[in-house]
Amino acid sequence: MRSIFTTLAISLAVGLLAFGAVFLWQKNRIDEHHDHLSAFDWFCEEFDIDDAQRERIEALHIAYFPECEDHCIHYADTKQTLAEITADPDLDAHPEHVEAAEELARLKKEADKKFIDFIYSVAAEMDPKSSERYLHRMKGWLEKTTEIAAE
Amino acid sequence: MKKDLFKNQLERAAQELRGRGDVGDLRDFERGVWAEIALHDERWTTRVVRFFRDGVPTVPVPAIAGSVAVAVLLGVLSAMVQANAYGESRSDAMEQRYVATIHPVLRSESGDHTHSESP
Repeated sequence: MRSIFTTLAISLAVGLLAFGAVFLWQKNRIDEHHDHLSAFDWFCEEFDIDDAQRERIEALHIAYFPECEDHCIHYADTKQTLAEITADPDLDAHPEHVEAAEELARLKKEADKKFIDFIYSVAAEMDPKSSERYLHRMKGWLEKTTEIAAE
Repeated sequence: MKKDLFKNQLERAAQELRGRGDVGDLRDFERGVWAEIALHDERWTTRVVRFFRDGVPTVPVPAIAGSVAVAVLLGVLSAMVQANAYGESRSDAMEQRYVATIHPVLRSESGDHTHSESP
């Protein structure tokens, strides 16, 4: 026989201990798993890509990377130029300012188009269910990249 | 009438006590009286402490075991829910990393323009 408060205190302590132990165990397991995962490994795991699909999709990624890289550099340079022009009060409403802003918007659109083309080419290699899920998730990023570009 | 009765009783009790001549009994009696007075005169904090010490209902052992088992179950379940949410947040971060490898705008934001991470 114990008082009700002692019982509650014991139960709370044991419950917290169980929570802490299980959460830490699970967290370690998740961290260990993710720490050794590349972005592409994550993609394969998340969208249930089998070995044959993995090989084909990997080839698509490798073929796309140089194009993506060039575009990325071009985009970053233009953004940098626009930032410099914006910071210079003498260049306010200057044709160079407008030109850089238009160029950045054009590159953003182009990047989105390349991205969409690429995700559709990847989705074509996947199972219908996974492909639908993949496209839905990736399209969600278009809005986010627009927000990022607007910042 | 009532007052007389009280006086009589008191006198009789006092005589009885005097007649005993037993110091030990008298001390016990005094102690009893003082204990009663203390009980009625104690502060509320002392009362609360005494309530928790003596007046709290007790729980039988099977109920304690049941309570502990429920606490363990709740602890494990909530840990699993929390771990699941943590796993999802890690997965979201991985998704962002993946998208950064295939979308030039996100890649330029990450500050790394090269595809150093092999697919």
